[in-house]
Amino acid sequence: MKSFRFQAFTVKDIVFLAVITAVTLLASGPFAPIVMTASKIGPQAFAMALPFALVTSIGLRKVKKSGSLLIIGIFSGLVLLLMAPVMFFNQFTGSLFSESLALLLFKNYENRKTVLMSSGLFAFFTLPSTAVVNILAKGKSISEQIGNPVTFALFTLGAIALGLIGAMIGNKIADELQKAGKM
Amino acid sequence: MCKRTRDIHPILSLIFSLLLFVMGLLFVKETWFWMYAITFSVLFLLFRYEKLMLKLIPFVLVFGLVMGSLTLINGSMQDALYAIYRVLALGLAGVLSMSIRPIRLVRSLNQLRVPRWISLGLLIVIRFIQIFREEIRRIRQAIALRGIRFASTPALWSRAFFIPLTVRMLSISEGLATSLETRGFSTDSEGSSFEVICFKGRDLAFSILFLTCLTVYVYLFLRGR
Repeated sequence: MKSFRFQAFTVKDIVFLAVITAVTLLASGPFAPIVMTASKIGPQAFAMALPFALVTSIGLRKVKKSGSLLIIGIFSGLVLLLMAPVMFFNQFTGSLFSESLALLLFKNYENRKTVLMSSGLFAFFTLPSTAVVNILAKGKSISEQIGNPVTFALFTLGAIALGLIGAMIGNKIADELQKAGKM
Repeated sequence: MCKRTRDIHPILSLIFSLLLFVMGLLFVKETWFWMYAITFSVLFLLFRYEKLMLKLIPFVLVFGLVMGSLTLINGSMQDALYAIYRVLALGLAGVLSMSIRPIRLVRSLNQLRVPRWISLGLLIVIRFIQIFREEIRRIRQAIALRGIRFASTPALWSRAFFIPLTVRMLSISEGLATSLETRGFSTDSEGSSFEVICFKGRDLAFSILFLTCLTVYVYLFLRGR
């Protein structure tokens, strides 16, 4: 049975993960106004799910080491810290929770399902930290943040679905590149 | 050797930027918020941040009006004003964070013994956002030249966009990693720095004024509760 293991990151890995982070931030850039103007939780995760999952899944297919998604989360969080501090916690906890869950279930990134789950659920797992930060910084209660429960449920399910679709597309791109000997 | 620059220490700028933003969000609903914004604007002008402030004014105006208008759809005039104030808080924090030069931030992080993989990664992300923006523009131009349109053939467009982008990502990161390795860079060794980032008298003066002003507003906030 394949076991859970930590491998040290090389300079090559770090550079690739940083480049992936730069592209992830660029890909999600057009959705930034939605993220910043939405007063309820849900739309942010829904808007970011597809671009984040798509690009990060390519990164995880190349660097198949435990902690890769967390590193992407730290890098993107540190850059976003300069613009909106709350986003750091968002990125950090999102990547930590989704990677932990994926590794807990599938042990390592050799299994394609780990990549799918880890990058696909990244946006969904930013929801709890957004809620906590909104309570602490803006004094908004959970019910205030959720608003209409049906809309919230739809946004949440949409974030999961779009995340998984994005991760699947990313995996497909990685497959094509692997076939062409580029990865 | 310390270089004589007008810039505030990058770590101080980062911390104060965070404080300004978080406190700004807390103070948004206070009647004296406009005073808070004016006080720190004056402080920035005293420390010669006028060029950065001029750069940020269009963003704050446009984004503030968009945020205000969007809030007005569901909320009251008061809520719209709070939304504009939030953008103002972001703009104020942005003056300080935009003044940080990435290389100075990385050097000061190295001085603070932050792991090198973090400072290297941060520098790459900041630098490569601009490079990849240019790459994306070129790829989109190539797609347009081939007559592929997203509206008519989204699958083909996505393929023509993502495959070259990923290949560029791979080749750029390979080249950069090789270049770093040949220069003896490794994540576990301690490197030397070309420039030492010092804490100057100007930093001290800014810190004292900034913290004094902030303390006054925190006091006003707590007294009002």
